Amino acid sequence: MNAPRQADDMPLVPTRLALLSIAGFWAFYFVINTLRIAFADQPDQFGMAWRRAVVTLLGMAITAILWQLLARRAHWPSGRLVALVFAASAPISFAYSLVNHLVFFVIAPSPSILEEMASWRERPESIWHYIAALAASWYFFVVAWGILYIALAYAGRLQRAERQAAIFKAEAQTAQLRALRYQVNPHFLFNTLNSLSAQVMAGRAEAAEAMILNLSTFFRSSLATDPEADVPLADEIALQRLYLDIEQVRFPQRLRVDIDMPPQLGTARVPALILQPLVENAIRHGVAMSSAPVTISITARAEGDMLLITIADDAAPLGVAPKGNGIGVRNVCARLEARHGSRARCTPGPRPCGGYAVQLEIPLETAHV
Amino acid sequence: MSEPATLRVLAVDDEPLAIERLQILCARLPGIQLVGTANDGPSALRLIDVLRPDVLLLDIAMPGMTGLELAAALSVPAPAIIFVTAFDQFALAAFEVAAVDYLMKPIDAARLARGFERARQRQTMPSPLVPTQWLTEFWVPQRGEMVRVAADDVEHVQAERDYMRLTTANRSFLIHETISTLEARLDPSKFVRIHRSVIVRRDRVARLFHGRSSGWQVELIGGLQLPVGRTHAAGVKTLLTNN
Repeated sequence: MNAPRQADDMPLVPTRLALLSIAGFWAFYFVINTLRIAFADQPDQFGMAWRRAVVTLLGMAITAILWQLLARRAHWPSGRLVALVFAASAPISFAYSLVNHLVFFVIAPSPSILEEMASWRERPESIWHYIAALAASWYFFVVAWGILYIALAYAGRLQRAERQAAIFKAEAQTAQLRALRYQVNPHFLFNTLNSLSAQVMAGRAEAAEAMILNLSTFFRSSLATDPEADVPLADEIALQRLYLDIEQVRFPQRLRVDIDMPPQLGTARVPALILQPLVENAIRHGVAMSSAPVTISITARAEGDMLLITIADDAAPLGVAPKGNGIGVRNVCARLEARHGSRARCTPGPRPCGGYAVQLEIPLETAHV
Repeated sequence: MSEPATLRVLAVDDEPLAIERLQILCARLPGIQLVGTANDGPSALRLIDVLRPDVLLLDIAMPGMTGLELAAALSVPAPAIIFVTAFDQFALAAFEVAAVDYLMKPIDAARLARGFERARQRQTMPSPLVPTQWLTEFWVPQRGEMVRVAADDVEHVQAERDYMRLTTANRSFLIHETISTLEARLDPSKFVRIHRSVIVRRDRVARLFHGRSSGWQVELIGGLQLPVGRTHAAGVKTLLTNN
């Protein structure tokens, strides 16, 4: 949660970008005006230029006031910001016009405009007319910068929204994976506790102890595994063997297990707990739904650069359509797709002679030792 | 006072250890005699015919025939049924069958004894005069237990996503059921559906009025206002006014 909050504290328009835009605006004015006057071949070009440079720097400082005013309100709706820009630009451009007047006519009067100044001595009110007229023409210059700032803030807001959406999406995915991991099947848990209690009541301490150890190893491994990580196939199958051992106590006559994994495939990488929902389904919809013995088989083999894993049961159909099978298989397929894209494949379906099978095809990657 | 008669019990579960646990529990309780066990529905039905037990301890999730199907297949006079299950959303389906109790695995001895007590009471009570086609009770999950809620105590029902919220005078319960199933199973002389997602008990309705912008509304005793769906409006008006 730290990352998004930090992002919220950052200004919508980075300080550097704001300062650059102010400097750029004024530099543009400086260059254009200096060139214009050079081409017009007016007198005292150098003297005018340094004064203009000073005024331009002061103009930047005054615009920075508008920037500060806007930066604190950058989260406002754009319409309100535009209104603010139009309103605030009036005093800002007036202040600039005043500064311009002070520099050119009061502090360091340019010799080239002495005549003009002489005329003002006769009509002092015309000084204010001059300042106001200049402010009016500068008004739109300031407004233009303000609108540029609003556009930048809008872009910043969009970017932030996109970034946040990406963060939320990532968090949602992690949360979903976490939820999958903690999704202990309550049926399994309570039925196992019930069998365990039966062992205890019947005084079979050793059988009960073995079951407790299996159960705690199973839960510890499945809870401690990072569901986003890949694990060696041998580990994943060992975990499923543990789960099946526990279920075997519940269904001593009905559950048979057949695991076939060539030892050289033991180091192949598979997403952690990828087999769990499939094995669980085979118990829930195969073994638990059949009164005859059912064999659950886990088969792994390599085909080219692909690893093929099949989870199958041979439960005779009892006329009951498997309910709720979809979510587990769908999650497994979605995880494989998220991890390997179109290179991975997932083929679930009933088997011709009864039972259900899911075949996973995963790009064969072995652990780097 | 005479000693209460021994209750004859048949336990049905597909898992041998679960059966064994029930055997041990029953052996420890006075006045209980476990007369047989079965590990699937069909053999349970045969044993019931032969043994005529007073009580069935019945698992729900079993291959071939579920406990619910088994209960529905019983012929009268049927034994009292105590459902025993690990964890189920089946709860509501149990209302289709009049169960005396609904227990969660692993059952503790005291809770089982209470279930048997209920079965005993049911035995001494006269059987319902007219078996009704309407729902008389709900079994709802409540803090890891199943609680019985009489249908007549429900004041209104509102849909919440996939669930229905049953509201009684002092509390409310969520059950996993569709509103149309409930509408079909609740006695229409007592309950009326007023909206896509609302059923109310008729005697709880204080008034029916037409809001300026909200259309027809029902106000319950206590002030709660509920919307009347457009497709339900005509039916609601005739139902409520013809009372």
